[in-house]
Amino acid sequence: MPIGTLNQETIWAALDEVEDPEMPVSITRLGIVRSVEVEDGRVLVHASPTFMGCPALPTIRSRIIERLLALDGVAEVEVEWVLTPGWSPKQISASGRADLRGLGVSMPTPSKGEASVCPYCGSSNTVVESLFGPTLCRSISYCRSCRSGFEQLKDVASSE
Amino acid sequence: MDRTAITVQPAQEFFLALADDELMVGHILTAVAGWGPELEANLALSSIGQDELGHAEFFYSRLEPTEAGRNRLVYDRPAEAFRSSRLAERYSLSWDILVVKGFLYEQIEAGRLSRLLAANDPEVQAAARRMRVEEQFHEDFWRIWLERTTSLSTEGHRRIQSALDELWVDAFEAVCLPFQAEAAAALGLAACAPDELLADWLGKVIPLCKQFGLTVPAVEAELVHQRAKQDQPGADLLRILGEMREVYQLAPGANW
Repeated sequence: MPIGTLNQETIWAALDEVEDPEMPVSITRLGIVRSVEVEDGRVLVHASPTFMGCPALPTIRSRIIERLLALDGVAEVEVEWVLTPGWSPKQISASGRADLRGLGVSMPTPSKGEASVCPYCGSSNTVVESLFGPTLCRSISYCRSCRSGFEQLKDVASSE
Repeated sequence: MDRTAITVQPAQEFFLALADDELMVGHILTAVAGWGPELEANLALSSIGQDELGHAEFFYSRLEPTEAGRNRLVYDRPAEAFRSSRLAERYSLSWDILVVKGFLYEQIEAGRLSRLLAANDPEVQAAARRMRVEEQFHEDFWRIWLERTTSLSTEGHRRIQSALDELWVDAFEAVCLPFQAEAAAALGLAACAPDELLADWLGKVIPLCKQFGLTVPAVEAELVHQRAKQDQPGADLLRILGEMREVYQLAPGANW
């Protein structure tokens, strides 16, 4: 890509190719990337961690830097973690939700105490098995209808 | 060396105390993951531990903006310069001790974070807001286990009561220590007298203990004051630092 075409669109398109290391979904679709600033070959990416202790943060940072430095015209990339506004599953795009559903991960329920929807059969006859799943941002549920275990993103927005 | 001989600025002292507590709790939980009674509990120990380590990193970042600087705080600082509380340092593989420690510590942390919402630094405020949301999962986990263990058998109840008796005074120290008057002032927080901090914490913890049929130990005020500070690094702190630094000390400064 020739120098001169570097703009927001180019950067966002490149970031869309960067996957979260803990699940094969784009970090832009997951809503982790909040904003991008481009000036004279320097790119500043503002991103929000799902959880402050997420062990994937250094890998996400290095993947962003590596991908953007591969663009013509990018000389320097900085990733800054921001907590305002904090990340929540509400920032996940429609395509991100579809990607997650395909991986067997459901979204948080709209209100506390409500049963989550099974990503495999769509039933609400489900129960939370454990608040803690394979990563900080996911819990484990079980569907009594199709008898499948599945994961659910934790709701980290409602009380913030 | 006396543990209190190394002094830093009040606000730094405050963040060190919070960071060191989170580091100790986080390290122990990730180290004991596997000792829990079931798979899900072990996932939780590991998750909570990771999250606490992330919180520790934020508090350390208030003193050291670079990763190298934060690594020095964790890997190169003398044991005497750590500001962690006895409760946070308590290293046990006993499930009853882990549950009661987790329960008491999370209630203390909730109080600390609530106060930090009024800090004069917007970044600290934002982090405190975020941590409170994340900590709610930790708090729920330990409270559920406290309820399960005390209600399912008399032996479970006996062990939890015994652990509560053992850890109670250490929890008092952890409630009071970080909010020294000078530190509170440097952060733009209203002065928090130890009695006020204790009253807030007890107001939350005592009803929960009663709900689970636990008797809160009686504590002499004098005993709390006598134990307000540790003079020397304790055995648990030295053990934690030894574990944490084992690989680093093979080749300090190396990139693995």
